[in-house]
Amino acid sequence: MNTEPMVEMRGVSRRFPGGHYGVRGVTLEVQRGETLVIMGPSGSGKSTLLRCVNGLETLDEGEIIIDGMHVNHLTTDWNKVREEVGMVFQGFHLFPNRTALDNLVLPQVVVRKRPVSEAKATALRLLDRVGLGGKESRYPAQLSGGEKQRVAIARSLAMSPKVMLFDEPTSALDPEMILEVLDVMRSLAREGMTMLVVTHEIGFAREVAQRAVFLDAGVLVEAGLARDLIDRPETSRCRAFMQRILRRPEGGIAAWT
Amino acid sequence: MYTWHWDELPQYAPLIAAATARTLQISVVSILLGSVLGVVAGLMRVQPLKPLRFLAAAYVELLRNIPLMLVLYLIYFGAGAFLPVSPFWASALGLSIFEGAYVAEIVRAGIESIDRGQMEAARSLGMSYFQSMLHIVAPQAARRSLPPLTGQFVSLVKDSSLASLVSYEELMLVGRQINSRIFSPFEVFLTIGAIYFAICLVLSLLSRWQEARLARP
Amino acid sequence: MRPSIPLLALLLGLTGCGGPAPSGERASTLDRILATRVLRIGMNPGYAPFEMVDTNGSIIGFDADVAHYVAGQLGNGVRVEFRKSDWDPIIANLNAGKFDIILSGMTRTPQRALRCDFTDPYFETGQALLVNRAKHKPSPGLTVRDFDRPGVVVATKLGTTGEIAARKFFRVATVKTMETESDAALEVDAGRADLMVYDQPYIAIRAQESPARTFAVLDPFTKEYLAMAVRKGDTELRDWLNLVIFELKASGTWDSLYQTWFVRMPWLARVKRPSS
Repeated sequence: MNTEPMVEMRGVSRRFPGGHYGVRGVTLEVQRGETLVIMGPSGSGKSTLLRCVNGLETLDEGEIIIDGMHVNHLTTDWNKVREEVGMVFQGFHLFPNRTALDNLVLPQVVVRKRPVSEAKATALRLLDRVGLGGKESRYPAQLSGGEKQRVAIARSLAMSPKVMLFDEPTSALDPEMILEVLDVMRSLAREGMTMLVVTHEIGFAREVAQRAVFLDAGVLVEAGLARDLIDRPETSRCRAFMQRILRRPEGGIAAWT
Repeated sequence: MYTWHWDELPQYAPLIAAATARTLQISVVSILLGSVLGVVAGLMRVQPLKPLRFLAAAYVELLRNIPLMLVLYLIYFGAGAFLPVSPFWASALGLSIFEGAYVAEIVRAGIESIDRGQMEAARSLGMSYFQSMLHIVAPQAARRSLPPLTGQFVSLVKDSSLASLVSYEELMLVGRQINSRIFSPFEVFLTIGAIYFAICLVLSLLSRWQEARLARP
Repeated sequence: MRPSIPLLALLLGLTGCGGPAPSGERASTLDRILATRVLRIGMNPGYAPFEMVDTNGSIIGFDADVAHYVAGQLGNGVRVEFRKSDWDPIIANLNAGKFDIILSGMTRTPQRALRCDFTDPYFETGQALLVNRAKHKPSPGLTVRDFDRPGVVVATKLGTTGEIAARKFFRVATVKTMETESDAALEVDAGRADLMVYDQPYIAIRAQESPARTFAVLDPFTKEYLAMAVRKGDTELRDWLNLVIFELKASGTWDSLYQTWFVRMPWLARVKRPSS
């Protein structure tokens, strides 16, 4: 049983052109099978940090280690890394000119080189699992926001990744569809997927995540067990943030279990 | 008052037909060559390697800022002084190189109009830059580029008339030859004009049909 | 097809409404020239030594001097205005009223006479050949028939009697039409054409400019009569010009002009010519 963390970040920094830091000196670990939630005000560098893990942003300082492998951005074959690290975007980014099924089949065939029949079987199974059985022939334009995001999750899962990254997966959804997506994410977590989730969904963070970190202005201000961070934040900045979030209805499906 | 002499024109029908064939010939060749050149240059402008981007940008800027007539003259009279080149190939090359620059810009605009998220999503699934372009970005960009590309092709058919200046016997030159014999500019050039119009209209309609086909999801 | 009113008006305007009316209701061209004191001459410069552009940009040549002579005969302080035109629409431009007389080394032919009226000839010449030295050896007794072979390319200027003669005499060789006589000569010079067909005076001069690469077959193989052209029905002007041409020759002016432009050629330095 491997006790090494699945994802490790040490002193990760990313500067933007112009000089200021998007992310500064962040150190954290994500254990295998753990769900870690990254929270913080907008502009705090949450997305940037997440995107460093799959190479969409390059590191200026620090290291990232995924499943024991250093991913030094100069020599790493990021294509290979990304086969193991799935990402779900706020904007879904489904391929519009292909059916839901095709969205899942294409990467399997092109990247993992699986035979088409096997890829199709996997795709159908995953679509079924996210609750979209029977809709595989639909085009993205014919799906609702919640359905699209579930297809996006299934698409990333089709690659059989070791880690799943979620960049505000429900922020672009109408409230009535947020639940269906969170349900899928919860079931994923329960099956033991290692997940890093950037989100404002306090309810999800509280009930599904094991640990949470709070980022502000690119710096990791506080980290700890999810419930502790949310119910009893230690730092003043985290406390101020939680108060703001919890006061507003959309900030917490606090009633969600 | 102008007296119409339509009766003098039909005897030149074979000549006009041959000229039409030549206009079509040079247009098709130039569209094909120009498109290849343009797609390559357009792709070069969006890919990550800087030296290739610079090369493509230089080509595009150069060709978009000089007249087509100049290009044809440079090739036929200029280069043609020490490298034998027929009027057909001088015109075809000139037209291709010239139009290629415009196609490159259309291709670039098409690709850049595709949301970055598409590329990011594809890359996040482990696809290489090349695979992402091939399977995801380029097909979407191609669909968007079709209307402006058609406009460019129609432009090229009209621009092919400049080949007359380097003695290629296409529609315009033959029209002028006929006119210099029968001195009836309206009859001659209205006829030539009708032929150009028909060619360009068919091209536009073909494109619209193709657009409709692609739009069906 | 029913032309719309605006289109009809456009057509009328373009054809120079007010073309010669048989009953002579409008003022005659001659009267207008005298009243305005401007003699507008239509010319296509490039045909040496008839009309050329010198290094200052002015038009000089045999035809230019003839034009000045004509203006002088009109008296009344009439001066010449040269209006440049492309060659193939030159008759159309005359009919459109852009100028009143074509004086441009133009051969009078029955076909052209269907569209305009010609004066008596003021010069007699014929077509000659400029040949590429690399492709053919000069020899006495070379005629145009010797060149009519498959694979031979003949350059001409679009719309000239040279083009017409070339199409008539060359059955097997390929005839190419270029925009200007110098383009056609350049084809021969560069070896893209075997030979060029054009009026003899031009060929003679051009061959001298590039003796290393070209030579001339000067014996004219057609007979051509250069004349001035006026709009159809402008008989008053045409008749008057005929008298002027007669005077030109009778007074010895023609001979003196011929000496200047064809024999002594002091003007060669004034005109920038392509070097060998």
